[in-house]
Amino acid sequence: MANYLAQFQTIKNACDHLVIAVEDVSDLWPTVKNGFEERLPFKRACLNNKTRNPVFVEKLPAEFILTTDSRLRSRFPQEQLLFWFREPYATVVLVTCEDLDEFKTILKPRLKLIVQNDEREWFIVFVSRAHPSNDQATKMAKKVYAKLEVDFSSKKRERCCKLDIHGPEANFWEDLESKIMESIKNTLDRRVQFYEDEIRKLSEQRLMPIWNFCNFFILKESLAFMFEIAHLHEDSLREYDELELCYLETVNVAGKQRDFGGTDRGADQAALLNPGNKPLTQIVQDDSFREFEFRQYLFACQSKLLFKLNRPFEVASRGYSFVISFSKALALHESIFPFCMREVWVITACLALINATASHYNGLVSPDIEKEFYRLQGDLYSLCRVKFMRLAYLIGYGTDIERSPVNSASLSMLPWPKPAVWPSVPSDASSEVFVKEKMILQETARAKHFAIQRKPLPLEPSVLLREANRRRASLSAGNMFEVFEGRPSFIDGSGSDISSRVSPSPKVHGISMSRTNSSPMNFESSIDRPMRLAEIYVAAEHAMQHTISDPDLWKSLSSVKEFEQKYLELTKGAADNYHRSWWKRHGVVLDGEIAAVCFRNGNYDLAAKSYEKVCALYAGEGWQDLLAEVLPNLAECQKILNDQAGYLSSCVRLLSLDKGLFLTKERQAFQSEVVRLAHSEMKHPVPLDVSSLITFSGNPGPPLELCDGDPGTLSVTVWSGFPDDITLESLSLTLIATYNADEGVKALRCSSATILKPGRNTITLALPPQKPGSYVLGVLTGQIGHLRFRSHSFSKGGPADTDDLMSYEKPTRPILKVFKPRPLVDLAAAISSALLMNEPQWVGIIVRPVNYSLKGAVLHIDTGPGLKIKESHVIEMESYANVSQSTMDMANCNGAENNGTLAVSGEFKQLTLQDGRIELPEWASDMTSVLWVPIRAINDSLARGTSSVAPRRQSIVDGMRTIAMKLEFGVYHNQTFERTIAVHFTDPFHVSTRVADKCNDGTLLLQVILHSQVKATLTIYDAWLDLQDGFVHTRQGDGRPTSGFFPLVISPTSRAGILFSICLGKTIAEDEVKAQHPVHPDSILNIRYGIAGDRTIGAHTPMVVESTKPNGTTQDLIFRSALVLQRPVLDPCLAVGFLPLPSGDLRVGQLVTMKWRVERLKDFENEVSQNNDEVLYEVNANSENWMIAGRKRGHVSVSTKQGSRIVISILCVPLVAGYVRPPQLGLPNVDEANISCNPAGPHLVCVLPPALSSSFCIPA
Amino acid sequence: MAGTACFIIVSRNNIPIYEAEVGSALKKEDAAHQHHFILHAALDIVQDLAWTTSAMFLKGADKFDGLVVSVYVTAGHTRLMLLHDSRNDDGIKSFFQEVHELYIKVYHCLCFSVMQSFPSSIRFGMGLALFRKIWMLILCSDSNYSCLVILLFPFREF
Repeated sequence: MANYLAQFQTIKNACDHLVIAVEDVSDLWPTVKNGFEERLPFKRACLNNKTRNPVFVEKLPAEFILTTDSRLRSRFPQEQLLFWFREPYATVVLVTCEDLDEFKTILKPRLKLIVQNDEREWFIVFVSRAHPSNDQATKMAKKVYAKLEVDFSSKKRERCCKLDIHGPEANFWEDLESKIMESIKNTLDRRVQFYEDEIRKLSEQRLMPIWNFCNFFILKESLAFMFEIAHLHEDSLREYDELELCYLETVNVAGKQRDFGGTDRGADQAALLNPGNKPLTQIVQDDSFREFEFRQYLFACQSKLLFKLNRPFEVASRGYSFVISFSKALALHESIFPFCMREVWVITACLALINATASHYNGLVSPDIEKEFYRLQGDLYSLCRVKFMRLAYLIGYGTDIERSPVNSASLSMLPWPKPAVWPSVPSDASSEVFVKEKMILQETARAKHFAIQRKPLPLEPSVLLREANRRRASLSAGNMFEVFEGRPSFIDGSGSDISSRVSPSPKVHGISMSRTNSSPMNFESSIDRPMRLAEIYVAAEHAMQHTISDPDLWKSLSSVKEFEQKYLELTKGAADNYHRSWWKRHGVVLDGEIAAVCFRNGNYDLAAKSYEKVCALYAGEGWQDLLAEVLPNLAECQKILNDQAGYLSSCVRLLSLDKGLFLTKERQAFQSEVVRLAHSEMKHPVPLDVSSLITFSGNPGPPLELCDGDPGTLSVTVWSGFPDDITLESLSLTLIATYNADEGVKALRCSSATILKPGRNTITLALPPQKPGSYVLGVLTGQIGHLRFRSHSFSKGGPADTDDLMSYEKPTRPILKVFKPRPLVDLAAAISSALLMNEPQWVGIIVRPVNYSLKGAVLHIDTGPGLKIKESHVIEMESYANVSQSTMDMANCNGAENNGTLAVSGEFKQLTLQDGRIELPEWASDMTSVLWVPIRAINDSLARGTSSVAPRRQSIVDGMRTIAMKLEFGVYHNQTFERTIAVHFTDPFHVSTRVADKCNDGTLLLQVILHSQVKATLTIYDAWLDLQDGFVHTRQGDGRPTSGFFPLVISPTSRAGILFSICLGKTIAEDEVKAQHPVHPDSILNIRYGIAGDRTIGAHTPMVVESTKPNGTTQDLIFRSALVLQRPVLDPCLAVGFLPLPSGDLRVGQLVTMKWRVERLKDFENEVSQNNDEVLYEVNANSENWMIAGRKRGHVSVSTKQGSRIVISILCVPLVAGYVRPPQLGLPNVDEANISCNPAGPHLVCVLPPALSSSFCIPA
Repeated sequence: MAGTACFIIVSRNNIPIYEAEVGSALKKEDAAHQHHFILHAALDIVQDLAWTTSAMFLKGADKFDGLVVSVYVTAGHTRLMLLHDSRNDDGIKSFFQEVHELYIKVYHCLCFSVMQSFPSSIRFGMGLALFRKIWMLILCSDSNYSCLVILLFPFREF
């Protein structure tokens, strides 16, 4: 049956559509041919697929062929069965007849003959040539057609239709088409059934020894082809899939195939998209299918159908896995192929797939599929790229392949080609070897930037030199390479040829010695000398030249430049496609490869752009190991491009990578670059973000707490990620207030250059006074050289808790708290009661720090008017605790003396006042202390006693003195506290007098009452009275009371009384008085007294200047008080009486008449004077209380005779309600002593509020 | 695991948060980031694969010649990735499950401390229901909790 293969293929090639046979009985075809063929291809055909489900096919191509045509006639029945798919699918019988008899006799038997063959699907088209105007003919034709229908159509199936050539033919074509379709459908069903039965039969015998795949193949493919020409591509594809499956299952596994194939010239070019690449007869040899060709053929058929189905994505996805699996199959048979055939095949296959799918791809798919499609394209490209690199490496372009992770990962795991025998150097290629040798020697490995020493990544699974020699020498010189095997570097497969040759490390150098020097020496005599690297390259090149039949591919391997171009093309293709898919990582990585090529070619701009993409990906995802690989390249690009900003930031990023990724030396190189750039004159200096490198945090523990207005020093921990010390020209740190955003930021500046050690540094910054609030650290800025940098990141507090993921999320801890303004210190007077006036006294000032140190504080004291500081005397200071202690002591000891207790404590100091300022001692900085300031209040006026009749009007203001104090404190004396305290001074006594008794003999007993004004015990030692003119002491005494009274002790704030006995004396004329006694017109009470008090309470013994102090005794003090003694009224001349007010109430607003009666008590006859009868009066009234109508002041005449009287009446209106003083009548011309008043003193009257006005309240 | 292997935990936002070279094979100097490279590239494939199956364990997600990348994708899309050369799927699967369990434990500790770090006024002020909901959210999605912290940030105003 294999013989039919050739025929099968020709049939297949010749026939690509359905055939419809036309049995032209009545020679009508030429007439109707055009009409028929116009209907082709059939639109909207409906066919059954293999599972008998209707499938609509748009545009089914077909051909009408006359049965008399040679194509249908010359066939053997046997062939017909096998290639049934090419047989007509319908038979149209064209007849015409105009005569019934003719029909019966001639046409009918003939038709019966034609249609008796049941195999065919037939139907009859009756063509009526009758013109519609010719009734006769039309009628006849109708009759004949009716007869025809009766004879040939059955109930089940209409087999006739009628075509009127001249008449309307609207329905005919539809009728015809449906009949043709019906026929085709039936035929197809029947044939599918047939093929299926046949295939099933064959499948059942599959395990029998005589089974022949060829038969199965022809049947299966026939079926598939039949589906294909019926445009049932899905079914066709399924058949091919089944065929492939069956092939792989039965034929391939059984191991029966003798010949794998693929050894022909041109086989290296993949034919996986071209089914007609090779005739089937060449694929099949001796009943066995050559796998190489056959699988490609099958795939080509499948992809053709898939393209027809418009599914290029599926072609790509099937293609990719096909290439992979086929490549594996090739690997099994690699020994029979030319050198590197497998790689070349993969390259061409991938390229073919890429081109075909890309050109068929129209993008009308769902986004998911689209992404996937591009992903597959990318995969194909990168597969192709890897194989291409492998070929290039073998030729010796390895040095031009970037040793990047992606290349290394794909190449180092890709095994070397395994030819049966490694190609050997052609005899005439010595010049080429020399060239290669030279190329190898000239090649210098590119030094990594920043002198990064890293073992280059391998591009080879094992050392090529060894592999090649082993393969080559495996037959003859098996023992020779044992020498190599023994060397460690060759066991370590990663050692690369290039690196070992140029690497300066001594170990590798030794190996290179062994290769260049010792190997030729050792093996020169040997027959099969191991090949040198250059020879391997040349041999590979020659071998490949034989392998590669594609001139384009060979061209791209012919020179480094061509290679690079192709390499770039493939890489770009892969990258672009990956970028269009979801696989951004693959894409970006390949961008890096493009960048490497650009970099090598000096296209730094592009290289930098691509490298940036790669770095962004790695950095964004935090893959530092990978970033460390690429970032130096980017940095180098930027350096070359003079992109200083980029270069700097790259260096900083390099520095901020994990420390383990680079050696210290390399990191130092990065740093030196940063420093070098920073100190150079940059054209466009840019701020540098070193957040990842320099981090900072406040010191652990509570934040620094400052009072409002205080400066301070802030200590900040700065972590430097630089490997070496780095000098920062300046450093400043911003503080951000946490609770008021509008406050902005405050920058703290550390102007002096700071040197940061690697790791932890503590930096102290001067902190000017800040507003109250709490502050967190903001940004660290500074300068390295001319370069400003900033860092935003808080360090996590050092390596100790790097595992603490939380610290990133932790709200930043306040580093500084500035409290709201509050009193930091309090100054108050220590005394509660009054001090002695006119005596030097201690005034105590309590200095109380409120949780604030007063270290170095200075107190300025300024006294107010009437107060003086005794500058000659020292100021004492003691702790307040002592004072309170001593007060308690005193309380305990009931007022006992407490001298000496102060001195016991060490916290006592005598200070001196200098220019009004005192510096407080250190011990007083944190504790409450009392400052005793010697002071003296001056009051020049003499104290005045009061009579008991008119009580004393107390005025505190008199004894009030002020001390203004200003305390400067704080670390920088920045805080001030000002306070003015009031100190009350007073005389020791207040004196009031009372006439205790008027004796008959004119003696007056004057009682002097002494009120103690101070909270101290007063002791009166002596008291005497200097009387004013007009009074004399009785018995001509010295004015002292009985001395037995003294000393008289007066307890604090109590009273004592002294009685003086005086009598009226002669009044000395005023002139004499002035002449004789320049004394006070008042009487003076002199009291000699002593005081025992505590300065913490109030008045106390005045301190004395030490030199004048008599030993042990206290100086007595003298107190003088003036007393006004009034002579009694002895000769009243006039009496003024206030007449009672009229009965009835005194109301506001009501007129009232005030009356006074003035009565003359004495005669003035003897005293001659003018106008004696005239008396001047005056009414004094408070104008707020009273309105007075009439004359306030005037003369009234009172006769000079005794007893004469007159009434003065004044009309008044009280203005306010209440008890008010009524107007008073005074007589200004008369001496007060001569007026007797009734009532004697001031009195009050009651004024009622105004009566309610009823005028508005008239009852209705 | 006989040969070389590299184990990495990759967080939901693709950041490697843990890595370890395991296995008995000699660690080559260049192998480490070669492994990183392979695992990183496999992320592309895992992201496609992860949604095609409900299983957490994707065995042999990617192959690189001798080396196989096995991946375990947690509910929160954290990926435990193992690069290995020997095929012992059951062993690897149970290894992954153990690691996942451990990971969740560690993670919960973290969450707990996150919740603790909220001021109590928030914790009690937001009401028990909301608090519980957030807890559940954290527990269900072993995702990066920083988003949650941000989510809760407005609560600071309380």
